[in-house]
Amino acid sequence: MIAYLIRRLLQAIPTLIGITVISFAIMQLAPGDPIQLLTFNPDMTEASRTKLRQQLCLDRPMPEQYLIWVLGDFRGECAMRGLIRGDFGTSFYDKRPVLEMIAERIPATLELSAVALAFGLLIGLPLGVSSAIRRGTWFDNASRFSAVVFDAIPSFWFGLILILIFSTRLGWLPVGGRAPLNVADPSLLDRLRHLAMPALVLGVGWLALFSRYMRAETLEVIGQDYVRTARAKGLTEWQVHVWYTARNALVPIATLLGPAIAGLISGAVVIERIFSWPGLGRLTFDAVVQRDYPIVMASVIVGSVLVIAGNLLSDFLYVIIDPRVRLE
Amino acid sequence: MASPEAEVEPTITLPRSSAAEEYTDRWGSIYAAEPESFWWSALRQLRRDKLTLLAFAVLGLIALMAIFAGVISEHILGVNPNATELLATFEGPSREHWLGTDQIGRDQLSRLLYGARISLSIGVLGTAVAISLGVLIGISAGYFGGRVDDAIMWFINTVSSIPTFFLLLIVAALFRLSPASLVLLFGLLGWIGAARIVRGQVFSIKEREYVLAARAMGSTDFRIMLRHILPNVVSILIIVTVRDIGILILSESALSFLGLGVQPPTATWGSMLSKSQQYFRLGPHLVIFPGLLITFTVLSLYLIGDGLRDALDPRLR
Amino acid sequence: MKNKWLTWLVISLVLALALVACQPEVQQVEVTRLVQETVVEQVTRIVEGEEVVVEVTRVIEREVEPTAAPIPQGGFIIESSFADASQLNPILSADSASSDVNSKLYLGLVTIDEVTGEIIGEIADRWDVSDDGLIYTFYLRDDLLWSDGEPLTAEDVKFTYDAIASDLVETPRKSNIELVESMEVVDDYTLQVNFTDVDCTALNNFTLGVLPAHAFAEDFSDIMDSPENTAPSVTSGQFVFSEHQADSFVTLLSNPDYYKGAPNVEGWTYRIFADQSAELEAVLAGEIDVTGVGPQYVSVIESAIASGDPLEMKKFFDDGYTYIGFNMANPQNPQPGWEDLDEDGEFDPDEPPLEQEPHPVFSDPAVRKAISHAIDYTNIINRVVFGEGVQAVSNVLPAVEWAYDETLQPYPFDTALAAELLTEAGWEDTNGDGVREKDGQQLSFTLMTNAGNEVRENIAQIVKDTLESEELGFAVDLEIIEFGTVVENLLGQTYDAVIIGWIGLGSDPEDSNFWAYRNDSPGGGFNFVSYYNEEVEEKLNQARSLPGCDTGERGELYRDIQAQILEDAPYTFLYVPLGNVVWNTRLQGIDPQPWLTYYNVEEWYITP
Repeated sequence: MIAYLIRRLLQAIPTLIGITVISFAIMQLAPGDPIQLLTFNPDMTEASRTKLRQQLCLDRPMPEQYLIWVLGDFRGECAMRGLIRGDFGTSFYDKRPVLEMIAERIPATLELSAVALAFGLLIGLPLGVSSAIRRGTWFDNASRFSAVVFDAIPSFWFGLILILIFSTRLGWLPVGGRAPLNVADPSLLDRLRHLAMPALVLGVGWLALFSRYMRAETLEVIGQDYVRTARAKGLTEWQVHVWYTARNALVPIATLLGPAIAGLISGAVVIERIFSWPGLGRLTFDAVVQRDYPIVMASVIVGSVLVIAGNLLSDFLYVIIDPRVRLE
Repeated sequence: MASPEAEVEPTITLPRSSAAEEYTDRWGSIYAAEPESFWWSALRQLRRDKLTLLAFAVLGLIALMAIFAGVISEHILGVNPNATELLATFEGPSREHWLGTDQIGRDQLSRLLYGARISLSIGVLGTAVAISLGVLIGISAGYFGGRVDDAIMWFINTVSSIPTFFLLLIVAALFRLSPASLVLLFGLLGWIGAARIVRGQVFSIKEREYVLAARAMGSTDFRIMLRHILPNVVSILIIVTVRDIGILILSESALSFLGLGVQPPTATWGSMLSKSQQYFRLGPHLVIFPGLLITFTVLSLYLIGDGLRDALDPRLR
Repeated sequence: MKNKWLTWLVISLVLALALVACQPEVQQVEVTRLVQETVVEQVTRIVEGEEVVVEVTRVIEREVEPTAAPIPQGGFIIESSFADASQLNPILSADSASSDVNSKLYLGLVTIDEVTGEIIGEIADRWDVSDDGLIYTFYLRDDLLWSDGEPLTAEDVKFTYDAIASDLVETPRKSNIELVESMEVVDDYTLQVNFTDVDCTALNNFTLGVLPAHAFAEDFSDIMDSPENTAPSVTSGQFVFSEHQADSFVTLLSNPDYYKGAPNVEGWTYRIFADQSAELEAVLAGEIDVTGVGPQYVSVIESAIASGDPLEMKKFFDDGYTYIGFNMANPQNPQPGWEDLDEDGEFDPDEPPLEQEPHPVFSDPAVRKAISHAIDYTNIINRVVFGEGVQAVSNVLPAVEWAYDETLQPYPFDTALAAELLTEAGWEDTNGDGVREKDGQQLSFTLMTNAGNEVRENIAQIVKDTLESEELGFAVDLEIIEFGTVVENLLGQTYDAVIIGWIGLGSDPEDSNFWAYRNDSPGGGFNFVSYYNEEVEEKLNQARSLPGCDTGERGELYRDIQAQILEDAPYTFLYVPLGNVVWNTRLQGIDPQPWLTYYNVEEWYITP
């Protein structure tokens, strides 16, 4: 088991190298000079620009810049210690260490994604199983249809409609933000009130996917021998479903977790904007628009690390859940 | 279920769920043997599925309107979609402007019709590029195996580890996007799912007798791929394609919401919806109609995807 | 007595009505109260020749002094914003969000008057200027304390400006001290500043917040990365820093030692939104106390107020304008505006202007004027800007009354005249393709603006639609692109025409950055239209360094300049936008003025 996980971890290393190359390459190919944008200010002198460029090592040839970024500047001419030593650079705008800025946002994104995922799983899976059991009934059709409908609405539009209804009209939920302002220790209920709408909008697509997947898996499992055997052994219909059908159908769901995490982090870019959620997606977007390259490159890497971690988790769960898989 | 190693490679194409990952590990090549009767029975199954047929009808109607946008605007509506009229902004639906006018007095219906062309083309062409690339790369990886496969899998793993929307938004922000370059971008970011499916299929098929026989008889690699491997993956690809078109339409609108989509004066549904969002209280019709069109189109595509899967997946019959 | 009371009542009522009529947000109307008292008086009466003391009981009405109800204390003012404030060091911050927060944390040597925009003292109580205009002596208030109890002295001011000058400090504020030769601390509360040149805008450079010298290293080595930059612990303004959650909020607490008295509120929170529509909904849902809304939302706020929402709005002109700028030099070959005699790539004062290679279309003043005539200003302002602006005439803002020429007439909207100008200048459609041409050059250009600015995007599309009409015969390509690329093309001078705006021009009309040939420097200068007019150049220099800086004389010069710039039409001036302040009426005491909203925040309070 441990050997298996270590092997998977080692396999992630070339992937990580590839990610650094890709994110560096995109930034290099991008047209425009970040320094020029940074200094769109009539009061900035040309000398300051040149100096800034030197400080950021932007006057070096491209391969050297990449190596400095990853490994650090050994000559110490520009203040970069390299990714491998945990230095993701300094934000062009905020002049703060990028890693610190990302660390501030990660909890918010993880919280939102986790709640959205839980929402998708807790509603999606039972919905899928019930649909499969009642295949072809109005319940089946209605649940399949409604899941697809919500998945088909542009999320920013859906979000605004929810705000109009639940915040402006009814006044039940706050328009945005992660917690009430100037409250030292917000209660769980307060946190949930802030989470409700963003998690719903972010999770609804995954709810649809999980229920669809669960339905198909359940249908497939229902017809298999061991379920028939269980039934023959005299277990009640519900016992059969809970103990055999659902458990076996869950196996492929585990493999979906990795992609789900990638998808949630992606989807958060839009959701975090509508609901003013202080997460990684917003940081990335703002940085992209401002061309704050150190942040953009770092959030690509951190986002990817989260996805890789999700995939590992997924593998791990798969091994645990699937009774047919044995590890040597 | 086969061994976990080959199957658990997760895939993701675009922000939300992509259809691709759903099918990666679930399709054998069960129906490789009798294609004729397979397609025939699928069609029969589909004809019984009312909801899917309805979705086909809605989509067909929207596609027709997009195709004839020019004719409809000019001869039926009698308007030019780009003509601004400062004295007629935010007007509600009327006889001259069936769906009202927008913030600078342009006719909304004709803009939606022209927008449909761009939105649907981006969806269809973007998916086409993605699937073609995916098939090409997947077949190469699967067929040649070895170093080629290792390199391709490394690349696939790398790209699919980056949250796709991050890449999309970075590229869209740093480079200027025209509809054509958006198609290319979607294609370049979306091929991974298809490549995985195809690669998996090729691996499972290539040692089969009829492929070995074909090779023994001197068929070229290219011919073998074309004749024997491609038909096996067609039905999965059809389903993936239909859903991915929907996902691309949503992605385009999400990009527009972030201000990074196709820029004016070219109108897409996504850009119309996201721009008019701020006018919700001045002209609700500007928000409702593009929103509904996107939703109905994507919904139809999803329903068709589901219906096709039910019809084409022999295990679910 | 009765009469007096009546007069009081009438006066107070009239006052009350008047106050209610013009400022409904003022609740505390002091009405004189009348109290009935039963009084037992001893009255001496003469009864039959004898003085008799009798007790008389009667009811009198007495006027009492009004006792002011105590002003509610506590609560947080919630302001909504669109951008995070991340740089809380006033000499490093360049973005408006950070400057917003910093203005509540730090006092400046001088500040601007909220009504007139003139420079007035803040830390400086008053100042003298030497006769040659080169020495300013500031006399500081001696009652100012830092939030840690240390006195705020001339050393702090000197430290702040020396820090800006230091090589260890990278800041866009360096130009603030360009003309400062030295600063000398005469005593704790007297500071002398020596200038190398007369600069009539000198005082404007001293509004920056002053840093606490004792919180930083003496040699400025920690200015760039001090923890004080993100979480300042020593401040002097109305508030002290409390907490900053990135992309969420900044919270400040009231400063009990603020020299005008501690604010009534407990604190101030800057709540950061990422989406405009969501921000508007938050205002309507009552989650926000004070904000400003975009022009498209003004009517929404107005109708919410009309339907009884507890909101108030006040509008002011922004200190900027939106315009169409024309690149008059060849975009294929951007050149600096001066002859680089010593070939060092930098402008030196003795280097003369260089005649630019002409732009194929916009070097012709007739084309620029024709475009200025072709724009339907009134309807663009009314429809696209939702009426939240006035037509700009030239480069001086109407708010700067002493320099603004109100007699100057803008180019009237007259399509026929525009077409005539083009035809006269030789632009004619000879080949019948609907586009005019002259000597083989098509009357076509690319119009660029930044994506995400809805108003500019809409104006761009209308301008294109207008100019491409049969009568005018232009061919316009729109390039609506991301701001970074716009900036790059602008500064690089590789564009044809642009719709963009200036903001934050301040109360002084000095704007030679935009017109002087030394600033026509591809890649960096802000004269990216490559404007050069000898007369304007000279008068700009004169007006900037006029000994005595008399506004009457300077005003004359600026009036000439704006007339000449209007005539030369390097820009088509579009409009000066109207900004606004919207607040929830639970916030009282707020009285926004054209230049400042928070000048009296210590008097604001939140009704429970």
